[in-house]
Amino acid sequence: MTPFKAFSRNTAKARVFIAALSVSGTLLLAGCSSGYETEEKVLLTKGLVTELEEVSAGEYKITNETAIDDTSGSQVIAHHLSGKIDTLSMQEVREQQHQGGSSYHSHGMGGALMYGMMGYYLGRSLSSPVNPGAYRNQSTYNRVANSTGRTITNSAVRTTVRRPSSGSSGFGSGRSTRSFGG
Amino acid sequence: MVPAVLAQADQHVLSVDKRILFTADLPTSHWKKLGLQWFVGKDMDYLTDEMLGVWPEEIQAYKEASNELYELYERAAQHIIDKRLWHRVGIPANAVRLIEHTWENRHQHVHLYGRFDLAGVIDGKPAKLIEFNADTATVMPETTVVQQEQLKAANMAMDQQFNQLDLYLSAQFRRLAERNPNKVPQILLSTLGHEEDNLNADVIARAAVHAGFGVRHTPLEKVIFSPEDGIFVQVGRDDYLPFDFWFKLIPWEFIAFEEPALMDILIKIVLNDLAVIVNPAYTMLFQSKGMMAILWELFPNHPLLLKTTVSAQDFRGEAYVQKVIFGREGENINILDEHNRYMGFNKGDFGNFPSIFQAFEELPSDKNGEYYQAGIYWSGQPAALSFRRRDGYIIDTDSEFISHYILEA
Repeated sequence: MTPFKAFSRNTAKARVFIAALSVSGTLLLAGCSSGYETEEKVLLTKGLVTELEEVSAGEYKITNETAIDDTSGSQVIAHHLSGKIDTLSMQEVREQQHQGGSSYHSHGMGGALMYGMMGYYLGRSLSSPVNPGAYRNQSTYNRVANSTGRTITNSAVRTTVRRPSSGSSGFGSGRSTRSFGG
Repeated sequence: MVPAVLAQADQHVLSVDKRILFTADLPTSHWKKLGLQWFVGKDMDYLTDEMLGVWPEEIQAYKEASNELYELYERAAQHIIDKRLWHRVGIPANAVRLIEHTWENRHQHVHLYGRFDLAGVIDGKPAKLIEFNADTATVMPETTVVQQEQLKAANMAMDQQFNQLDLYLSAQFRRLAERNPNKVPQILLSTLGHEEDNLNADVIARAAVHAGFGVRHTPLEKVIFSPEDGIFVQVGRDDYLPFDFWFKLIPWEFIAFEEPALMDILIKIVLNDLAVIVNPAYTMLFQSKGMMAILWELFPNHPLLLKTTVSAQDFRGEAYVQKVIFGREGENINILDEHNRYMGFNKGDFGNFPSIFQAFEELPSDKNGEYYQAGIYWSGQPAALSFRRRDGYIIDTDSEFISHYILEA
């Protein structure tokens, strides 16, 4: 599941400050002890595969977007004018988004991805609509918006993100050497 | 596709050898494409190009056995809880409260699934319980995916296999959501990190998604447990996602014995209804092989049970199997014949637990000396069948997985 911030609404009555969480150990409460900070977020529970085509040198348009069950299987498939096809995982897309430059912005993929459905996975708010201009043509936009768009938005879950007032982690570390099934 | 010899065969005494159907050997690349390369990796001789034929009446016998055994387990669990027989089933003091609470509230704390391992049936003998993997049963990717792929490769129809685990797991997840109406249907799935366990958790995730749950995988060590606020995953510098449901492919006895601090937090989380954990804590009781001695006491000579006690003295002149109450994957098992000579033994990681002693029951076998153990999944109802075989009496990690197909008369 890809969590991202759709809108930030701070409903906290009492602010709580949490010390840095170590990999193993206890989350310490440094501030006051009652209540915790909450924030509403939207979680996308479906994954997305976006296909792009380089329609003219350096200009990319979305040709298809498909919802998939597994959010970790999200990817971008780019068909370049040269005939080369690139398949990028979300990790790679995000890296390029952050690094900018070469194979992302100069290829003009960034804009199309950000203003299509994929934009929701890259940090754009779900309340901001998809831009038809990111798609190859109006019928592609209509088709994607009516099928995939509905699937993605209807399956998105609004959830309250909150900070635990205390907590522990690091249990069971170093125990991955055998199966615990049977 | 069914071998001609079967057409006129006498159904009731068909040997294992005559049931075997050779299928096309599916290439490694095929399993890779399905994300199952782990099962065909280096040094893995686990999947085969054979399938075992099972008559429809035998499928029925497996289903009835699992339903009836589940009822026996429920009755025995109530008995143990009423009489507080915790020491007899090896339940530590720190687990008692959570077992009692989840059992009393089992309408809410749904038992997602388990697997009964059985002897008998395909050799014409009555079904006998070898053990019940009630908490963290695995072999699910093989049962749900590998079996279906082999059936397809043999050009058989989907209904020529008893394989509804995906469907019934999903139904159990829907039940879990309905019975916890105030909880957000998002489930966190955790393992201790072993690839085999992760692949099994994927099967659970798939079923949860079909039932409308959002899913997220996070290994146990990264999960944050808060006694006041519940179960969380940190997703950003200051962002913590709460989860109302947690699936753990981590045995309850591991948590109770090896991570008692976590056990204490989980007790608070569940008792304060901050999260529902599957499988629920009472499956630790079901999982204990100590239960099988209690079952034999409560239902002596029940046709589905093997004589089971807590003393080797009860088996003078009889072959028996010694197992530790929280052993897994065929580890820490000794098999002795009627003259007390070893017929088989496995060492393992679980030698510190107390033992039970179970009458030795020979599994159905073929001409090559391979012994076949049936695994019948139970997920609110009988859900799927698959087999493992081994050229020895103990079905362990060196066994092979065997798909099945339903024979036609």
